[in-house]
Amino acid sequence: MSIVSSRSRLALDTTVVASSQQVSCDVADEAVLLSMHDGEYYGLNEVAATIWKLVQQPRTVLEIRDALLDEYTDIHADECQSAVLEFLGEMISLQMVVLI
Amino acid sequence: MGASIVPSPMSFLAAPARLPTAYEGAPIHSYAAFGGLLRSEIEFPELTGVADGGSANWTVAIEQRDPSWEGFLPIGERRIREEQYRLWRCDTGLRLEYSHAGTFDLSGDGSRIVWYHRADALPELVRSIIIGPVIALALELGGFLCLHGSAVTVDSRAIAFLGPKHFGKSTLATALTAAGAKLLGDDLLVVRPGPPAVVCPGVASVRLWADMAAALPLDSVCNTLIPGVKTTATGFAEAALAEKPAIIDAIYMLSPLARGTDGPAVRRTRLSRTEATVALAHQTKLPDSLVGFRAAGSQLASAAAVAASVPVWRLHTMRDVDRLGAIVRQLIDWTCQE
Repeated sequence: MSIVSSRSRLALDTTVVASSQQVSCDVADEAVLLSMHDGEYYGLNEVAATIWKLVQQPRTVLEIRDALLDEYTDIHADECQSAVLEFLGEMISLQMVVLI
Repeated sequence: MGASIVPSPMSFLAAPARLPTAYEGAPIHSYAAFGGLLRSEIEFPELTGVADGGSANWTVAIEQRDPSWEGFLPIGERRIREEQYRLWRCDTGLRLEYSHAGTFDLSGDGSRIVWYHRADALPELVRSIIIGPVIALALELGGFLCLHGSAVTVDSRAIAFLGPKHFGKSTLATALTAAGAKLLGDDLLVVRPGPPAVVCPGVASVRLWADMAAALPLDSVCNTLIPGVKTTATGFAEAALAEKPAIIDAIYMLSPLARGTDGPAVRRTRLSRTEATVALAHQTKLPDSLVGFRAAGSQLASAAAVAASVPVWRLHTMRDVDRLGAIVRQLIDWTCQE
């Protein structure tokens, strides 16, 4: 499944949550994930780690975007939404985030 | 002290010529290893013997009967060409099944190791499994992080070299030892995540490619070379060995450069904490596929703890024996400056 196809399935009202197919570890403000799907390690930067914390419980894409806009006031809403969709699309393709 | 060349690995490792069985009333041997005391029915020429006193951290026993498989559930496996490792668990502990040396049980607290005697198993192989993956499993149960690498101390501070096979970990550790550092261990690095992160002394022998073994001044630090696919340097002088656990000053992830590459013989780049955590997690002695994702998660947390307190560097080194001296001098300078 490509990132683009995962992303295309996402809308602002889509609810997502972290899957059980991973283990994760906080590293200061960042995080590292180990995917059970492909056995690879993935480093998350601060913004991605913030999204990762948010999806530990079911959230809509809109809720995630708005939470980021509250935390990072210097990000433009469109830019933020695009980044959220891109990250979630990638996480879905890696089976570390699922749609519910 | 001159280095003696032992004709073949088996002639050196042939005492005892075969592994004893439990029925033979095998003598008990005591060794200082991995920061603790190992008491064993199997003799380990690779380890440093100590007087039999105090309570052992680990015991190794030989069991003559076949293992029972009742109650065992698979955790994971690893294949390396023809060899296969499988890890199992039951209510009382873990079992490592290795295609070429038989079955090894580990008690739930990691303190008791049992090898089920297999007549066709090479003694050298059985020993390498016990002081490799089996003891690594035991140590991880005790909260240690076991990494694939080599380490020395410089002024009582540990520096460790990690990386895949053939990247020069053992060469650097040995070259530093010959230059006055003290060898902490080769192949299996036992790290208490801390803080502070500490590495424990491991096995006092180093395996080197023949060209490197010939190029290094080994006779200044050890007295026995065992030929093989790799040359095993052992019999290190006491003064060349670190006896105590040491706080880790730096971890270097090796990244060799082709001979003739322009630039200095060695340079380093500091990794971010996240990069360092991933890099350390990639160099665990026990692969994720073998230990399963629950244990892999624990290893990842330990790697993150080490990365939080120890600088981890990408070390770019020239693959050139003629420049090894310059690399060693720079590593010592960096360690002494910090």
